Amino acid sequence: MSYRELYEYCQNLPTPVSRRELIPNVCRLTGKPKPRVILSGLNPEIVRGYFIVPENTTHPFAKHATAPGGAVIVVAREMNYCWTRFVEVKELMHLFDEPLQLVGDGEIFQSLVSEHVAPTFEWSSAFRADGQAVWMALGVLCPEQKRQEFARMRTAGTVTDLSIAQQLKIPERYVPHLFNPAFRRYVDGVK
Amino acid sequence: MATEMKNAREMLYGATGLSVSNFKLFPGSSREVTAEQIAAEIVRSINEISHAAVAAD
Repeated sequence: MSYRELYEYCQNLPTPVSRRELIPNVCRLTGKPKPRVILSGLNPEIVRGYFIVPENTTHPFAKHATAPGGAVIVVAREMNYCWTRFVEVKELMHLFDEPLQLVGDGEIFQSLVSEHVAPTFEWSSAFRADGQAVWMALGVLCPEQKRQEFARMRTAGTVTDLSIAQQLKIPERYVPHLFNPAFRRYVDGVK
Repeated sequence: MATEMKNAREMLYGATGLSVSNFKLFPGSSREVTAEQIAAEIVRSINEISHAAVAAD
């Protein structure tokens, strides 16, 4: 169940890294069913997407899962291609969630939502996992060699963040994160 | 507990709900959103999807 293996696999992929490469490899590494991805009428100002694992197979929602216990990733359809792609990949990373990161009861769910609304200085494991998944997504969507090439060009002023976003097919606002001094520490810290 | 959050908790974790084993969130663009708004949006989304046909693979 190793994100590290996925990360290493993605180092040799061309950009933009395809979800057709990511999804089967995540499923292979985690042993979990392929997640169902659904574009929904979510208001992206409120929620851009969510990851949910319904275990009650008799509930109408659960019929959308590809197998019992399979995850459903719901993404707001009123976003551009780069946003829907990034949200999907970030939520896909939650197939790697460890037991202490799971949100399996109402109290933890309520705490997670509250932390998103008003983060504090003490993060729960679940909220930390939500943040970590963003770094995990960036790690697999931008091979390190490409990231370093972009870093050189960005420092030299020969590439814009918009251009990097267009080449990677990620939202422009996440491009600066690729060059965060702690990027390597955040990504390398995931097993 | 406020109403929308109560509804969301019931839908996800209640006796007749989804029995969710994991849930994670990608927040929206608004900095002013409340927990009640997020809860309501999730409930609305799950209801919408519950009534939708399953897409072919």
